[in-house]
Amino acid sequence: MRKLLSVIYYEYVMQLKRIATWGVLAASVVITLLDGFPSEKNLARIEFLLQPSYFIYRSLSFGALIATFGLMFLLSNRMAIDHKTGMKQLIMASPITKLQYIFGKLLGGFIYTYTVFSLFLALNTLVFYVSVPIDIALTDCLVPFSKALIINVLPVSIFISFISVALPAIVDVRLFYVLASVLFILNAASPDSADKMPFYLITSGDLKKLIWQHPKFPYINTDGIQANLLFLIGCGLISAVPLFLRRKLWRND
Amino acid sequence: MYNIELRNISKCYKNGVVALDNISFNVKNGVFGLLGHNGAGKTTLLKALVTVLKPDSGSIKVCGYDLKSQGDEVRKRIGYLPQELSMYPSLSVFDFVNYMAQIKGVYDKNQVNIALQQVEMLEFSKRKIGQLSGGMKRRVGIAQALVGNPEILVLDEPTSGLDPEERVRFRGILSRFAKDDKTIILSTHIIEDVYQVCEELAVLRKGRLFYAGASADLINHVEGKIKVIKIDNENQLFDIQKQAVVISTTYASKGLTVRIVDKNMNFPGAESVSATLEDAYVYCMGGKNDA
Amino acid sequence: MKQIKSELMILGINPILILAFLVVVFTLIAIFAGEMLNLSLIGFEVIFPFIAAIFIGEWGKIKADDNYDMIAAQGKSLISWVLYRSVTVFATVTFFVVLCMAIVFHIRSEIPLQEMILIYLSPAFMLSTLTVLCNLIFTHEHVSTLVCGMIWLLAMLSKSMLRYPMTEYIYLFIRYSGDRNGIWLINKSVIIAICAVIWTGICLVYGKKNR
Repeated sequence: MRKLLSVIYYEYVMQLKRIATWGVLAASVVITLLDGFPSEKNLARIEFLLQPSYFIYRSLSFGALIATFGLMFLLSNRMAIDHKTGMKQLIMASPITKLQYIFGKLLGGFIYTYTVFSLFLALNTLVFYVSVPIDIALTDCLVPFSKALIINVLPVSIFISFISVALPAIVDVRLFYVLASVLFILNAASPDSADKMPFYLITSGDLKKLIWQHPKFPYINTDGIQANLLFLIGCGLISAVPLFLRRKLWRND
Repeated sequence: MYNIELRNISKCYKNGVVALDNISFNVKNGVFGLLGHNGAGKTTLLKALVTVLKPDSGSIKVCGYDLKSQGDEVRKRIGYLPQELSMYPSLSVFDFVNYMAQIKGVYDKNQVNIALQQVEMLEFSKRKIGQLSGGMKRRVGIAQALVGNPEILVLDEPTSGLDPEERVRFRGILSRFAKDDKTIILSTHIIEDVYQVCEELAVLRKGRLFYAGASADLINHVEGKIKVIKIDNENQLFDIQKQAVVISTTYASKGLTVRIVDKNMNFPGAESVSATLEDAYVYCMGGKNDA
Repeated sequence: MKQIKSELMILGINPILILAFLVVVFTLIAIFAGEMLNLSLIGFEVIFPFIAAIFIGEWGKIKADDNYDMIAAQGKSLISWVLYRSVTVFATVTFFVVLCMAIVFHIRSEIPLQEMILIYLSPAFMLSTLTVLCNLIFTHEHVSTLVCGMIWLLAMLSKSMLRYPMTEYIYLFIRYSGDRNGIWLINKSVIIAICAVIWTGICLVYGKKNR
């Protein structure tokens, strides 16, 4: 167990130490605030911007997609790099099991994604709370923020971290980029709507509607939420399976 | 009792290359050298020894444990430095060695400091791996192998690319480690390293074991046969090559000095010199199976 | 010609297989996707230009190439190497894209073929140019693709910026966003002109020095 925790910890630390991590975080926060900062002009342009839950809801459709796209790239060579640098041989020669190594990589990536994504939301919410021109109770911000951490950030982090760590270890990382770009463009091209949303939306699917709903459309698409959740968690978990099955990945015990 | 016992190890890669062909030898305490050309099978043999690669046939016992059935016990006792190791550039020296220590199940940070002290890297422990020189990186690589005080150290060409000062420092580290009844397997191209620290060695040639035994015995194979001849031109050199194995040729302003193994005593008048390990090795590699 | 042949050999078979795979996928989408989707616009103005940039970033590596120091130290001209490499990758991708366009046109006839080529070229050229610029700056693998990907995604997400005056002249995906004022040809020309300026800068800076 301690070996697994060590792999997770160092995987997490190594990723957080990358300048690119903070670049992606900064870029996505700036982009979100450019769109939804509660300035006079934006408040006039965006109807519900005074509501903290709407601000978080909106952040999830815009900057969050940029953040997840960046994190996906940063996670995509975590296993390939061990092969390239000779670290895999070294690790395989140590008394550590395949399960410990793979789970360590996957969970380290997951905790990293969850941290960065949470920081992204926290920073945006903090800026919103400080800058909004009316008095808002802190709990009004904390409640939707906490909801987002559980309802949205958790499944999205599983999806992004697991597919980004696992798939490039199985297929050419560049094919993975091409496939991911198609998925992200489908996400970016999908307009926001009160109707049932496509299941494949990463940060702006029906799950997001549990945080804020348009007052004119106060119903919940339960099957849409389930499909969205199933897609995110299911794809994440399924993409990890080939790693465990692939014999070439590890020494023959 | 031997610390490592290899019996009839063979490995053939999918492309048909026979990397190891029926290799058998034993290794006892001390520093054991593994010599051979590029592609002779040294790295394959070491990978098999550290359980990273499975041989097609044969058996290996390390510290009495069978590699096939007791791989975990073997891994607990081995420190390994692969031929090519870039490590994680974003981690500090301490963090990297600590990471490897924890993977090995060693959670005492003092052990990390001791390993860094052994390779004289303690003062650089906070420096990032990416900011180290090539020699320092190698020392960190050795530190991660030393951490946890393994019984057996497997080093794959650890001195390649190091300057002479670093190599001397490295030999000192090995000698200190070997003092405590430990076993070190050192694969290298550099005969000088083997000569300085190894009591025993094995020579691989094209996947086959060419020699295994004491360094002194290998030298004895050519003792009394090493001669130095001074000649005037290269035509004479070609004649010599037909009758003896040429170890080295030195060009001077007036002619050439040729160092040879005069196995059949074709040059009785030539000056005899004492044999070195390099003479014996080059003779083995250059030539005849009956050496 | 010899250098292009060498670059093609360095490129290898993997990118060709991936491109062929994409053509097959697009063909299937063209056959089975409903009429609500304008595949020609989203495919050739948005998706394939970024795929071209991914290929330039991943297979047209410059500073991230393991042999960069050797080539920079010994090559006659760094800029010609950069040009040969980037153009080879771009041309290879474009060949498959045009093939895909022909198939999509044959199946769906949404937009004339020559219009599709025009729609594709300017965003592809812009994103590829930015990737080459990143390739010349960053020594780490995948960073160029990451930077360009974020720009691409941001451009896609910032359609609302078109409300500001003049932005429609430089917006990358003008046809996909609706082209309310019918200025797409001007937009494409402006973007290509910006690319030409960037390339002139690259040639001036890297043409003089070898590293």
